[in-house]
Amino acid sequence: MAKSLKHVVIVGGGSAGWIAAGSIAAMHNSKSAQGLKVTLIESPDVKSIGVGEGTWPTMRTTLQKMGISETDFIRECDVSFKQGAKFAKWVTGAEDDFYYHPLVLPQGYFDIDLFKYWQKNKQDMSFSDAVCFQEQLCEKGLAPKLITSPEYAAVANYAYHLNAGKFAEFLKAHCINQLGVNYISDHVGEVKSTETGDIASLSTKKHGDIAGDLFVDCTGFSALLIGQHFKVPFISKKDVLFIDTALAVQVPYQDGADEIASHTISTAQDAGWIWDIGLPSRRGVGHVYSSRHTTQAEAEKALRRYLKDSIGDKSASVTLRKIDINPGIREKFWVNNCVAVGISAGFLEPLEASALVMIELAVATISEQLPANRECMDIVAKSFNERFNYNWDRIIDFLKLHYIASKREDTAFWRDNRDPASIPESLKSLMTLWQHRSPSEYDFHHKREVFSAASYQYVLYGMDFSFTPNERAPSEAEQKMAQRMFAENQKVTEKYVSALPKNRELIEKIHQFGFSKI
Amino acid sequence: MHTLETVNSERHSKTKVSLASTLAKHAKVHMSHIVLQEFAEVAQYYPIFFCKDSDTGQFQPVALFGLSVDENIYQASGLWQKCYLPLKLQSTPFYLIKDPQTERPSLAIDIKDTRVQEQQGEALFINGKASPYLQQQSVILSELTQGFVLNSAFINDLLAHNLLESVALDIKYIDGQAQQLTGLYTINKEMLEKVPSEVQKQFQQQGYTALLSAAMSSVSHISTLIDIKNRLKRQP
Repeated sequence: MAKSLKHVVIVGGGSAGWIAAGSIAAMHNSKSAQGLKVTLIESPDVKSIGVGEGTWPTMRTTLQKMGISETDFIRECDVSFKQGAKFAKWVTGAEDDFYYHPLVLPQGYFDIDLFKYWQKNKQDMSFSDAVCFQEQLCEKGLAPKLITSPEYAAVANYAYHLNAGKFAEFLKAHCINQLGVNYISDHVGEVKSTETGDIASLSTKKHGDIAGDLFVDCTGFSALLIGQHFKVPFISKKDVLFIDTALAVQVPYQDGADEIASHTISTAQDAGWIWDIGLPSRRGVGHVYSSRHTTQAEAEKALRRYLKDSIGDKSASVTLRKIDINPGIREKFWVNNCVAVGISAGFLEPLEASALVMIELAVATISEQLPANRECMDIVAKSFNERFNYNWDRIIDFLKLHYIASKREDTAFWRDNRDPASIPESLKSLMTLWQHRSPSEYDFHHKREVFSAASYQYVLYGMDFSFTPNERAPSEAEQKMAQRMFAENQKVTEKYVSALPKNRELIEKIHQFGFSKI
Repeated sequence: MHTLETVNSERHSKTKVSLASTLAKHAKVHMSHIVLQEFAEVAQYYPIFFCKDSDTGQFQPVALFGLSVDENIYQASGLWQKCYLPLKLQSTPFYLIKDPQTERPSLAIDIKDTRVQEQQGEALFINGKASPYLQQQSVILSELTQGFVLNSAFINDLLAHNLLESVALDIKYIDGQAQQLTGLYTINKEMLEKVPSEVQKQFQQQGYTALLSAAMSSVSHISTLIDIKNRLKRQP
């Protein structure tokens, strides 16, 4: 009989490593003597990259499954709420150009496509405002829930903004103290192989050889196991997604009582875009750009100009940190008994915060599909690779959509982005369909899709995508239903706008009183 | 809205509180916070639940008087005179506030309360000295203050052992009207049975066992409230 899988060894202690350790240990009962053994090796010399401050709503489930209290998480990781993203200047570049990609599904999403009814009189209100209440919550700086809401429960679907460094430390403590994860702080040197090419063990400076049955590579850009050891090729996606450099900065609030935006603000620039994420104690801001389309000096100037609106002359003196981005993914993510999670598997760009959600998806899949033994592992690996190739392709399509739906002609960056040669075939086909009908669940039919058709609708219709409706008149019943849905959305919007507290007010209350578990 | 004034023998030398209208004053109150010391008495008349304070999200035990906001079935049916009045309601129109000058807790009166005037009722001061009524009110307030501290220790223990659960009551009245009552929490009997024996013993010593059974038995008053409301519906 094949040897059963008893020990998972994770290398790397950033967000990816600790999410992997926590999720696997919690699901496979590592704190009990009969549970699966989970070891995490973190090099004391390597600093984690520490950006990646936006999550998807999936993070709520991920944390809950690890047995983490949402109150503790919010208090200790400098967390605020995120209710989607506001895209400014992406469509025309005009001062008043913006649209929202909220996290709440359109009203009646599973029953009716409201787009064509909205299109008839769209001058009244944005698509997102007409079908969803969340844009108004964001515009008014309101929180997605009440202090009386139980932990992880939402009034309006929400994700988080967090301090990535504190988050890794927080998960680490929880994994070690509550979940029985075996922690080794040491430098990994040689990778020792079995005759079949599997990893037999990793040699460390002070702890000797660490043997294991499955090795999870969470070593970030260095890709110690999947790249350096297994030499799995890296496939660049720079021909599709042009962003390759980031200038990041932490910005203090002017006044401790400043509002905290409850959404990510993304403002398009001449050769990229600027992210702006509000944490309770500071903002994290960064300019990501294509070095082919602008210089670092120009990009820096644009970032400081952006900051000047909120922090005045201090914008001239804040220290920027440069991070190189090499957009791309591995040809395979799981080889032999090694699987890559996080940046070692791939990284595209920060748009739509796809990095943490891909970690969660990969870890959930590994944990739920954990091979019983070595014999099962290749089968699981094959399906994992197919699934994640598909997932990465969908993310690439969705990110690219933001650029090709733009109508900006003012710079080469925007014009080049619409060059058909840079657009994946899969996206081109969808765009052809979507000229005549809305993105639907038929287009994204896999289990656990990263982005739902609703996300595509918000982006396409937020960006004023040209659409040719068919001539057929809708039935009277459907027309009535559409009117009812619009009215219902207005009612719900008013109700929530009056009931929900300010984002900062709720966060302060969480620090003072905490959420109840029930 | 309240307008609170620190009670002062000069400023309030003529102030009186007309107690005759106390029950009428609360005619539209559908619940009241209660404290541990009065659980046994409250449980004889009202269903006891636990609710989250809308401002802090913290649980507090409450006595329920009605089945919807602004409804007081006890008052509407004329039963209220015969019932025990929770300390929180007894204490009005007095409150404890932090004195802005001394930073110490001091007695305050809500001068916007309709019962507060100078013509009739219980005087606050008699010949410049605190009246027996005022002294009594101050005793009630200190009992309440102490009660809220005990409440929160009790609730923390309940939460630590997962002994609270949310209940949604689906009510159907005789006239066909349906209603769902949400936001109420009660003792989780199943979990209570699983509490380890050393904790059971601790609960016994702290007097929690009696409080828990008072709260659990009091829930049956809900059906009485529905009966009364049905009766009230029949006689418009």
